[in-house]
Amino acid sequence: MVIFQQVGLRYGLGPEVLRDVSFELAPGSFHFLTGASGAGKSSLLSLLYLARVPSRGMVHLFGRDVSRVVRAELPGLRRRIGTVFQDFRLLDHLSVVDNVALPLRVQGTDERQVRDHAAELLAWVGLGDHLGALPPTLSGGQKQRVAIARAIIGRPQLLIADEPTGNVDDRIAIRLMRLFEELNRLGTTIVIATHNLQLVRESRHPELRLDGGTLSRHAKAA
Amino acid sequence: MTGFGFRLGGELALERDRERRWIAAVVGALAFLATLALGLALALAGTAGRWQASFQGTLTVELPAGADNAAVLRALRAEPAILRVEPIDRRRSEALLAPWLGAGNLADLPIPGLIDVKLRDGAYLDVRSLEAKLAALVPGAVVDDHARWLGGFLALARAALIVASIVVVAVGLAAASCVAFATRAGLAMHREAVDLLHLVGAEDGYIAGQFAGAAMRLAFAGAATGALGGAAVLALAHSIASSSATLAFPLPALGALDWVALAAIPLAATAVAAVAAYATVMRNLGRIL
Ligand SMILES: Nc1ncnc2c1ncn2[C@@H]1O[C@H](COP(=O)(O)OP(=O)(O)OP(=O)(O)O)[C@@H](O)[C@H]1O
Ligand SMILES: [Mg+2]
Repeated sequence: MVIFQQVGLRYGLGPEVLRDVSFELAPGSFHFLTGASGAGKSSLLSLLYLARVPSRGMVHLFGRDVSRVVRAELPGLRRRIGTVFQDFRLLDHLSVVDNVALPLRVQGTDERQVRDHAAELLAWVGLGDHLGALPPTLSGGQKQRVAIARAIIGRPQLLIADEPTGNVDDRIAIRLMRLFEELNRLGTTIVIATHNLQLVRESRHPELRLDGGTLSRHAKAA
Repeated sequence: MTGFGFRLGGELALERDRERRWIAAVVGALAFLATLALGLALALAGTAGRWQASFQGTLTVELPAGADNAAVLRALRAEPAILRVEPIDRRRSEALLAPWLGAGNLADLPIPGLIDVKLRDGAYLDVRSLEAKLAALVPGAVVDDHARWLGGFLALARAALIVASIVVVAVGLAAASCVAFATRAGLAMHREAVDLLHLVGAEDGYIAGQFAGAAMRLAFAGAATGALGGAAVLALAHSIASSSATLAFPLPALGALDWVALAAIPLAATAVAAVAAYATVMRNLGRIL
């Protein structure tokens, strides 16, 4: 599903923030990505959700070499990926339900189906009463749940979450983790970047640890 | 309601941007100019065409003042190509001249004798040889087939149409570059939302479509207003010119087809804006991942 080989990434002319990163994610696997702040977790994920191409090395996604993918193919690949961004990236002028509906709308899915599905997912993450709310009126944890609903509405094969439990209390964190487990059981490949080492320890899933831009440990074999 | 904003302008909500409303004003001013230029040229061309049609198959014979026209009339009626011969009597000539010279000054004036000649439909007549024939009867007789001044007028109308077409094209290019400029600014302003749309799987065309829709709405609002303004000025100019006795000929009215051509200006402006915005977005998105 995902293969990284000797991947390096630099921003502009700056230093490499990822160096010689190599790993493989099997279809249906569940990995945590850990590391200190600034270690390069979000940078690595941005390569996964096709926001960037590596400065060197090779990234394979769904069997495709990303550097050979032509522009017209990107939307199709991106629709197979769901992402919860660390900063959510909700559109402030759109209601919660319209934010969640976004991935389906850009695909031209039937409008009734889109709204029903978005409302259903929002109810599931506990925001059924906030369908018409605008993101700036929500708490951090509520925004996070909107972002998660948006990431999964398109039934992605690969779900990428950057600190998805960073802003929620333990009860909701556990509930979200159960959601991810459930999606994983249904076949979704999952990568979660987190600071929450407790979460990682309590789970049976393997950990990819980033240390100053290099992948230092591949713990707990899958 | 939440759905309303979405349906009106798409997720980028471009219709809310006040920064690009000047597009409507610029496109409006350009449409106003295009309407005036095209309207005047069409009116001129219409008149030229009508005059050409009304003089088609007619000649005017001019005889020196005081000449006897009986022999000339007989010669004209003998021509097989001629349908009708109608001398214009002194009173009618005076009536035609009175607005120019003043009614009181005409009494002693040597007024040339005029004869209207109508040819049979499709008949051919050699004007020069007819003139020679008549001059033999009455020295100084002249046959005028209106070709010289009508030709000049037709050329003027054609030139006006060409100039108006150039104006319309130039105005269209100016509108397109304004829209392209505004669209680039809009793309920069909405960069984050555009990036997000890409990341959730939107195609470039989906994003370009929203910019094209927003540009179309602005351009149509502006161009419709500008074109209506232009049409109002044309109508006003026509009514002033036709009520004024001082003009050598009345400013011509526009025909139904001309108004249709003018109505196409705001529609064309809208289409130009849509295409310019769409193409600008597609070209610029090609440069980002
Ligand atoms: N857009 C960018 N431009 C330039 N440098 C960047 C950019 N994004 C990240 N960096 C740099 O890359 C390095 C890794 O950042 P990254 O955001 O990937 O870390 P992280 O592990 O996600 O941190 P955190 O846990 O705080 O989210 C940092 O040194 C950061 O300054
Ligand atoms: Mg990060």
